Amino acid sequence: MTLDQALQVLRKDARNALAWEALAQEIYSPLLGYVGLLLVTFKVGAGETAEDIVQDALLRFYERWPEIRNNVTSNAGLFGYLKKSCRNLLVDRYREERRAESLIRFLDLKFRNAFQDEADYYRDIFLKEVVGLLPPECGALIREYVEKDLSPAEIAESQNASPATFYSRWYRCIQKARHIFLQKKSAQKRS
Amino acid sequence: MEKREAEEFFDLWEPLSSDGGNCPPDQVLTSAAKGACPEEWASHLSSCKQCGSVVEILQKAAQSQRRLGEFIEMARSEAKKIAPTPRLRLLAIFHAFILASPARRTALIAGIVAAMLMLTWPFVNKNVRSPENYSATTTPLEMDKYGKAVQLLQATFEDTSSGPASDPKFIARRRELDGLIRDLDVEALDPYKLAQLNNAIVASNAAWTRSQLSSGSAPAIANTRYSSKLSDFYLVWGLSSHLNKSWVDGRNQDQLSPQERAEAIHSATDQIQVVRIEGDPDQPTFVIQDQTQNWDPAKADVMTRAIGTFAVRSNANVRFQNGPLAQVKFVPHR
Repeated sequence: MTLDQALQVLRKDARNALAWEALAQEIYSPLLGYVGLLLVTFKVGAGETAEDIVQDALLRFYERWPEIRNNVTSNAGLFGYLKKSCRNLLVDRYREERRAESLIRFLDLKFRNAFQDEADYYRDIFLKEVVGLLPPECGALIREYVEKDLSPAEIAESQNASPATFYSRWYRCIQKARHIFLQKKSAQKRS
Repeated sequence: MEKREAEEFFDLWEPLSSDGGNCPPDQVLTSAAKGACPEEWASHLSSCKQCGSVVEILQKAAQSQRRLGEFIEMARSEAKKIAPTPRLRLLAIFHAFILASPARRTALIAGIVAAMLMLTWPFVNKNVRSPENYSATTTPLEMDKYGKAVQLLQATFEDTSSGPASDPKFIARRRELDGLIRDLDVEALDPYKLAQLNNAIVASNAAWTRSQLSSGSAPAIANTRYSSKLSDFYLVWGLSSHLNKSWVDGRNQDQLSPQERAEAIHSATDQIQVVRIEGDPDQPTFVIQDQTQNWDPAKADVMTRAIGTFAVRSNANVRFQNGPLAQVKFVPHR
């Protein structure tokens, strides 16, 4: 039974054991790879933790399936849902741990959350003045972050990039943006 | 996340570890863990510690399958708790069995199509198959008065092409025919037979009239020779009219004035469609479309007269497409 067929069966019979088995066999390794790569990239421990996260995500997905079955209509939707679920579990798990700080920022940092009430003000600065001064590749990345309100981890997923690769690119871009931003801010203070 | 100053926001980003600059996406690592590493990533995977660690995690999980097994076991036990009805369980098993492989699905569809064909074949064979299995066959007419009349009509029709109209045999046949038709119980004939008889009379009359006209030298429509023959034509023609009158109870023809009647006949001749022309070019037979079954009974008289008029005008024999003297039915082959 393919993943599509398993989803089709589960939409009709939410607790079909054969379909759940087929679904779990198909998605377990990709999810484990995703979580493992995140953990290894941010050096917050791997191995058992990755399996725990995937296991928990699958169980929650299983419990919620009767409610969400009409919203998950494709393989891409299924993976999107489960990756987000794993991401949230990782955030919950490592939120209080200092060593996982960079991973948490990567996973849950959104422009709106970072600037809250002043998000609109900074958004204008980013879009009109900072993004235009960045190299095109970085400009596109920061624009997506600011406009779509996605976290860096979500952008990495949408670009099908590994966390390590994307984090490297993201860090270089954010450093350049920071440089431009601070220059503008000091110019504003002088005037 | 609480609100931060811009400097603080940017400072939160730690420098990236030196290992993870160019790592492949997680799908590549999943494939590598299954022993199917894409060639372009082979050298990276052999040197990158991060990717090596992930591949190791995946391989370890695949070997033990402990957590995956736990989840599957949980799904099975939950499914048992629901205790589906036997019918639902059977359906679920059937569904899972069919969806397990494309080959099973194809076999199922083929089986259903075959079963449908087997069930519907008698109907298809009887009603839908191509008309190649049907042919037009003439059925012998009953030898009652009607059959005899039609047979005689056929004989007179053939006489016109085999010899002069003044042949005593031909004249005797026509007289016998007149008697037969007068004695016919017209009310007992079904509409189709009545129409066929009318057609046969019209065709015979037309053929006979044409024979009469062509036997003279350059006959003219208005000359006395033609006029005298015309009365013979209407001798039998009148019988045809008599049949129609009985059929339509005289309503239509009595209501029309002579002028209207002439116009109706003239108009009807325009509707006659010649399908093909047979025989000697000097003495052709026009084969016309047989639409007698579609005729409005109230206009049958006008139509039969129109055909006669058409024959005289055309100076040709006229016969119906399916033959004036036989019933034509489509009979399926056994």
